[in-house]
Amino acid sequence: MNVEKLTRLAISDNGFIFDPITGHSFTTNEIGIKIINLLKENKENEDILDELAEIYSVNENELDVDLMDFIHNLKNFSLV
Amino acid sequence: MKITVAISGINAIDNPGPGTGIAKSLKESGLDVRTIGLAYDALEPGIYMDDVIDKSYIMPYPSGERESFIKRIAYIHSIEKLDVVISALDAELPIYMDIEKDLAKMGIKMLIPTKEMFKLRNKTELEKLAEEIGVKNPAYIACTSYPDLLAALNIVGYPCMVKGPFYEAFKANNLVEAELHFSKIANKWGYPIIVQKFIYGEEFDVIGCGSGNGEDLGIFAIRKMTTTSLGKVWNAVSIHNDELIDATKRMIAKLQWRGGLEFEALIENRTGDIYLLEINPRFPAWIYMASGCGINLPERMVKFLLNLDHESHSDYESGKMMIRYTAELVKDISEFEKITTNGELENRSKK
Amino acid sequence: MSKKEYIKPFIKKQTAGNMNKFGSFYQKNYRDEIAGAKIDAIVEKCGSPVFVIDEKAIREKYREVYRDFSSRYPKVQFSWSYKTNYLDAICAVYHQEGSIAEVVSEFEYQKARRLGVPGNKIIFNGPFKPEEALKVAFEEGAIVNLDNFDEIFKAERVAKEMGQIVDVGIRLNMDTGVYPQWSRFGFNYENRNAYDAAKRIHKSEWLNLTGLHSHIGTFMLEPKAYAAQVKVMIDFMRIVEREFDMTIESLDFGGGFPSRNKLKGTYLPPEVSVPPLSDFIAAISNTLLSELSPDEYPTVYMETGRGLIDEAGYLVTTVDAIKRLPSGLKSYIIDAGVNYLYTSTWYNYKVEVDRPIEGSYENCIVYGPLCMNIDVVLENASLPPLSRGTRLILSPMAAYNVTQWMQFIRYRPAVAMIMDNGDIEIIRRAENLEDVVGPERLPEKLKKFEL
Repeated sequence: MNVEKLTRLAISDNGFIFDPITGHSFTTNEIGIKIINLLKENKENEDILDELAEIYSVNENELDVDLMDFIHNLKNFSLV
Repeated sequence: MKITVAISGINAIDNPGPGTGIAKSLKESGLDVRTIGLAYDALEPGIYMDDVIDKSYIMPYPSGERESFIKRIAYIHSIEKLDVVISALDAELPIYMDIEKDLAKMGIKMLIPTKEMFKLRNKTELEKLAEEIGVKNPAYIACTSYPDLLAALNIVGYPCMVKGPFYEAFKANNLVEAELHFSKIANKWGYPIIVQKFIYGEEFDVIGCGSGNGEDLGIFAIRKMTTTSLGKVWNAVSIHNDELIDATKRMIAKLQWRGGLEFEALIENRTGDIYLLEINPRFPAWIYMASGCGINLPERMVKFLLNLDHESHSDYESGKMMIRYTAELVKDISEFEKITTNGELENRSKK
Repeated sequence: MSKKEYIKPFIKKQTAGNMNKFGSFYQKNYRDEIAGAKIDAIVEKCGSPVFVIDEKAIREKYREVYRDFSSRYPKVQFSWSYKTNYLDAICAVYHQEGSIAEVVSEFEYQKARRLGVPGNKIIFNGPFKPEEALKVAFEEGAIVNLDNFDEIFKAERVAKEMGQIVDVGIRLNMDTGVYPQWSRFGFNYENRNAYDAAKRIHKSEWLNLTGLHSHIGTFMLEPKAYAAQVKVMIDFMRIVEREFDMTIESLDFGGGFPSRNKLKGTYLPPEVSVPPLSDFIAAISNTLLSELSPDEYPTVYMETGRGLIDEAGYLVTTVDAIKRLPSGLKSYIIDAGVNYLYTSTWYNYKVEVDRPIEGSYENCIVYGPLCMNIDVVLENASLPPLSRGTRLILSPMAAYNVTQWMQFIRYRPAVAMIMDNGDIEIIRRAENLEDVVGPERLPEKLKKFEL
């Protein structure tokens, strides 16, 4: 996965994202910001899952599905 | 005394709502008013107009649940201590009529039409009313399906007007155009859709505000000089046409009209007859023109609701012109961020 | 250290017209109970999906509407429209409240009789009544409304065979200023078809016209249409009484009142756009009172179905899978399909979830479990991020679904009634294989095969 586009995003703490190249803006939430930051570090999905499971009280299957969905959305928005 | 007034319809776009005009009228009145914009979209221009709107909140759509709507207003009220709400959008008026009593319990006042008055947007009622106040009404047919449309076109013929239940009216010169407008309106606003005979003439508008006891708080009339492709007034000139003004007064008296209204009329070229086209149960987008001519209806409405002394004369000069223009504001995207993520935005007035 | 509460991640693009974070769902739309019974307890007992009916809501609504009507016009009799929902338990609640039965087929007639409704407390309507059914109805003294000339002749034959003069009513249709005008049922008033029918019955040795019936449409939103209907029916009553020396004892104004369901193609919420039932009742009773003198008050029958019951019913269903479509649209698969939800064709149901859910609302599509492309339960719902196992509670549900549902691919689910003391009673159990194959017969030569 090419995460280069993610590195150029301006992300504020409240989850507002602005892409200075395309001019698009997005909104996300706290965990969304975490995922984007982990992706930017070139982490593999398994590692991201492990890290998130450490922080949040959630069943692994649900988290797995949600992470795939989130990344699917990033692809839809041409961010990865 | 600082007065806080919440105003909807601050979408000053190509199909403009009256909200910014109302807010501007209040800002230029003798009242000390804090204006609260109630927006449905983060890009409604009023949100970003520092000198006109002091703070804006995003509202849930009126097509959602009644309860959510009340809760949102209660939240805004807990912060702003609203004195008055001025609703200025057709699609949300029914919900405000429905919750007016709930708002009154919170101490928020409104001057809006009753459900019966709102039904006048219903063309059958309009036909009756036109007769009662001594003006004409163009033949129309309400359609709730495609076969209805075809049947209606056979009777009304071309050119005709195709009108939505809340917004949008288009002239159709043939079947293809009529079908196009019909499906466009149906997809956006649902039924019924009105097919109306097109009458060659000049368009006039009279606005006023009824106190609910048959009296008015002032009347103001214009001739539309130019309109946009959406049929919105772009340039206008103030006029004194007694026949038109008297018809409006008769209507206000007859219905004991409550709140703002726009009486849209057409004077037929051939006969000089007045046709009542529509009654909009709210102020129009060009409301500021009346304020600029000394008939500040939003100010009078607020004063009336708060039992303050107010004027109610209709003495204005004819021959005053309204020039509408487009303008640009430059804002940082952080403002947009605030309204999209928090649902509210405080403006910093330069004054 | 305890872990943080999990809120599903989301990312949303800001696009024109989609920048309202509250949209239609500012309120947290959740409920964990129906009429005092926990959703979990209902599902544990009855399974998912399950239709849930609130007994207390039915009774309260009935009493409110009946009180409203009878305080204005005392000679009113409500009759429960069986086709709206003819489960025994539902009908029994209405009969306990004093409502008689309104049926439109011999099946419904038999069902009402089996439940213990006497024949003379049944109104028999509809455009098709087999001769045998008509005979039973006449013998048992049911109130029969005839729909067409062939039916007048049929009734005459039956009465003649019985050797007994029978009372009948006729159904009228008329222009009440609403579209579409229901002209397929009954005799038309404007073209004098109704007059001819009355005249024909007058001439008959075996029939006696005592009632007029009309039912002007469905999900009517204009109370004035009923005022017009009542006026026409009274005018017609006067005409036949005068010209044919008949006595019309009852007027039946049918049903057609709307519920608080949101019709597709309407913008405003039903709480705002649908007039309260009291407006319809006022339109009918005011016209009755102004057109009639007290000594001529006929019995008025009301056949309200949907308007009385719809809001008392819910469908509890469970999210089984979550899928992101190639277009980016989020979709859910739930365990109840359109085969149980006949009314999904014209309503956008109210959707609630069984728990508070944090997270951003997103437009999504909700599919049923059928292996059919048309199985779309909610075309455009705005929902928070749902996990598998979340229960969706759809409403109003009590009108027409449980009579028009279809057994297809899966067994039809249970129907539960939450009794007024909070108990959960199964009033129709979920179907099983025996229920479905019971009527089937396999020819002997087809019984054996090897694969």
